[in-house]
Amino acid sequence: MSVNITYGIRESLQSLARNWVMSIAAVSTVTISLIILGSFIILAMSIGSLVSQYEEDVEIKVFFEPEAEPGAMSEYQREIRALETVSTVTFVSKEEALLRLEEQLNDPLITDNLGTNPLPASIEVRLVDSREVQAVADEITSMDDKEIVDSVKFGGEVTEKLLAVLAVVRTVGTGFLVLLGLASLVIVSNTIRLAIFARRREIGIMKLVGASNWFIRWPFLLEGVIEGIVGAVVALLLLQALDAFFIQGLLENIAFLPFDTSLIRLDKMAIYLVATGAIVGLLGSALAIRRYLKA
Amino acid sequence: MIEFKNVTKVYESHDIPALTNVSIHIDRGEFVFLVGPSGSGKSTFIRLLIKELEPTSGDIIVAGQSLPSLRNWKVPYLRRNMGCIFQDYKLLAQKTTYENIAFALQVIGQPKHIIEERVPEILRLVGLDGMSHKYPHQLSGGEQQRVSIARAFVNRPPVLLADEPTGNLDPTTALGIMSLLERINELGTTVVMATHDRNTVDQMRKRVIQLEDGNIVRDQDRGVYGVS
Repeated sequence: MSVNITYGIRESLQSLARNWVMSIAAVSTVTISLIILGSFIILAMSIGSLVSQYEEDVEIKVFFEPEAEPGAMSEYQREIRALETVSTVTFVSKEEALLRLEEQLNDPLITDNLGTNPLPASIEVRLVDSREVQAVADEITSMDDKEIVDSVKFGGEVTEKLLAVLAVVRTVGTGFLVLLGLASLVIVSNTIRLAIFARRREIGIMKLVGASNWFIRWPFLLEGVIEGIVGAVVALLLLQALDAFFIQGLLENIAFLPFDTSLIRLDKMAIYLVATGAIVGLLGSALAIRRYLKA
Repeated sequence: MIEFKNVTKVYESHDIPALTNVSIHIDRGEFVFLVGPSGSGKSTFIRLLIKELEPTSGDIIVAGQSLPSLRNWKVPYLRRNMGCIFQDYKLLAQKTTYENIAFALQVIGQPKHIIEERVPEILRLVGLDGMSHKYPHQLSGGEQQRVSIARAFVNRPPVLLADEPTGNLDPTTALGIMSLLERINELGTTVVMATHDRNTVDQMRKRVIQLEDGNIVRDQDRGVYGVS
């Protein structure tokens, strides 16, 4: 058995070297495809992190009418707190609202200048699941039977837009990947076909003396897998460089975008990229062999 | 050992069958010549036996096993029981004599110690002692055919198939090859040899099966090549 393994590995490596031009072509195609795959993953992860940051901030603000009765307000607050979808409810009185504004503007004199307090009292509602924000906001609005509520607001618009962008990125990315995946498959398959062609005499003799189909097949499969894995490793190194010299710098310079750069973790992607490369290589060579090595 | 039952083979690209309704029985240990002009169906006969081709109809039985119903993955194991030699030797140019023979054992997964034991043994049998490090281009045609016989026989298959093995050789060299095949036959191996080499057939006086346009026209023990 060990004779078979060393034999197969030697055959694969020799074949890779013999057809080095095609091998390089195959490796580069896999590399390009995987760089694009990696970029899309990074983009999707970044947008995903934006979305989740916004989602954490999601809260519903209920602003009361200025003349709302305190008793009615606290009863309304109790009703909201009783909802299963709600996690916390905080009452912000007119005075507290003004205090917050002062803090925010860093101007303690604002009270004096305004004379009266124009801010409404409000309650801040946090949710168990931020995705239900629209439904909960609607429910809260419908519970206002005494008509003490002026308006119900929540920060859902940004989240929804980001989710829409994320969906587009995913669709476009998947489309690209399918095309590039097919291209890689075809090119790997062609390299292997050349390798088989170069050794057709040998294969003929192997079949003649009774080598099993798997014995003939697996060095070629290995060759495809090696091409796929090498392509993936090169792609990872290039993505790493791209990340270090370009993306991180870019993100630092556009600090207003709250990208969480720590989420771009190439080491976590590595296993997926290498596995994808290996699978593309395996399928590519299997395709070539299927056509040429019929028993 | 080998049985053809009403075997017909029609190639897709041809109208006329390469073999028509051929039935034949070859016993274990026989030495059989398949004779006839080019295109008479000799090579088709051999290629059907190693399941390189499928018969259009009929059944072929080798060692109790029906070939048309043999699964593809089992074909290699069939071929391990049938050595094959050809007019063009089919040696690998970049391998030495030793490596060409060892290759046949390697690819069927024989361990190193078996290879190291059997290759020198078979080289002695075919009379190529001392030639083990030569490449095919350094050998004469007769020597190359001996390497090819060694490769076919190193695994001690019960059947040896030969397709025009003396076709490229001068009569003296051919004689040497024939006596080697006879020796192998004497060791108990069934030999089926396709040829149109009249001298060889006439000297050996073995069973002769004559094919013409895909039909068996003669099957004669201790026969000669024939009148045609």
